[in-house]
Amino acid sequence: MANKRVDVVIVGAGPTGLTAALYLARDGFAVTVLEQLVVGGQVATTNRIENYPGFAEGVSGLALAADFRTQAEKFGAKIKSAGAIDIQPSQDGFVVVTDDGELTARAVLVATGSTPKLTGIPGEKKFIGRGVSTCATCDGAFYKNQRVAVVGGANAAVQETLHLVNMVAHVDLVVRSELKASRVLLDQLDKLIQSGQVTLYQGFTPIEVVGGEKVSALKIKNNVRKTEKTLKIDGLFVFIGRLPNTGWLRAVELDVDGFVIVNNDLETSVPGIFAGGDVRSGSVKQIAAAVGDGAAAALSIRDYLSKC
Amino acid sequence: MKITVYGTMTCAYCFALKDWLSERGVKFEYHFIDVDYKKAKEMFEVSGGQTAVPFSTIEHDGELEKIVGFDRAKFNKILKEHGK
Ligand SMILES: Cc1cc2nc3c(=O)[nH]c(=O)nc-3n(C[C@H](O)[C@H](O)[C@H](O)COP(=O)(O)OP(=O)(O)OC[C@H]3O[C@@H](n4cnc5c(N)ncnc54)[C@H](O)[C@@H]3O)c2cc1C
Repeated sequence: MANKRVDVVIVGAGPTGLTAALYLARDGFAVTVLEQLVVGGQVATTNRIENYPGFAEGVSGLALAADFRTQAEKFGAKIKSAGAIDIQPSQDGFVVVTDDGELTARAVLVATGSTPKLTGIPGEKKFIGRGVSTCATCDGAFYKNQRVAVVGGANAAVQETLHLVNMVAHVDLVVRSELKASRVLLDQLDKLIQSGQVTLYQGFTPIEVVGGEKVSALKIKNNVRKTEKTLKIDGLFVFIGRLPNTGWLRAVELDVDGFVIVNNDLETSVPGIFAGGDVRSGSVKQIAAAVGDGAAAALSIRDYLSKC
Repeated sequence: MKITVYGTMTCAYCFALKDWLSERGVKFEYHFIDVDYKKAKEMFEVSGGQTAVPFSTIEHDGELEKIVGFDRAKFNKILKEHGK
């Protein structure tokens, strides 16, 4: 990529980045969105979304991601397949350094989202891609009529359990403390527990992934009684939270967990660099909120560019 | 050079890799292993039991390179070596 000059570089093509791109491109700004993996971000890897307004019957993640992209591109936003590795101040704004060249921009939006956290227990790393996964929509098909375990107790874990039962023979759901999913998801989960398709292990901590060539069991421990139990499984899906994608970002201030600190205008500690969506400190990690951040950041960037 | 990509109908990373290769004018075979059982078996054998997609093989200069995931850096390196 030759050193190109644009008004705004948006790093990350998830719902945050693509919404900001749509707003800014529609306002006539030259916008380039950098995406290192999948356009649509986490949305593209989610089977079905039921709580994004406007889709009363729910919508597939792939379809929603494709529509976000089409709408941003319709107004002239450009999407480039490249990963940002640094943002440096320059005379007329910023240089965004990528793994495929550099771009100069008057303002930058960091919308790099988050990636799955792993448990760190013995065996987990060894079996990633061989029985341990963080994407049920991608890898669930490998476990047709087999037994899997899901680790996690929030919305994503329950939602993915509901998706997995359509493919697999049985799901063991291991929840360390409390189930913190929305009522509608918990009601559906209850039905599956009643029917025996899901077994809930609440108050258990996973301690080891066991196997030879491939995964054969998950060892768990009761938090109170300290007793151990071995669950015979063919696959393990981990949904225990997210880590911010800020490992590459040195230019701005981050909170203790690595999320980007912003003010009410979604501006970071460096004027002209904005952040929104999952990657910002205090975000609620929902698509509607990410889209809201994208719109709010775009309006702040428009204001910023009109003043400088 | 022969590139084979194994993916599923619901895997966004697989579609991203497919688009990325196509944008670069790279020829490749693509197999949906969730509907093509023969190819699923083939992937299992070639990969040594891999249960994640996309999984790709690149046959070049008498070697068989295996790539797990949409690993742009690895693909870029091999494609560059072949002037793509
Ligand atoms: C399994 C699952 C189910 C979910 N279900 C729902 C649901 O039902 N409803 C709901 O509201 N929310 C749901 N969510 C959460 C929702 O998807 C996220 O809150 C939302 O996608 C966040 O949007 P974002 O744009 O901030 O980040 P992301 O979607 O994470 O997008 C960020 C993008 O930035 C890219 N990127 C990262 N670093 C770089 C870099 N250095 N250079 C270039 N690109 C980079 C990433 O590859 C990614 O594509 C779910 C999430 C998961 C994982």
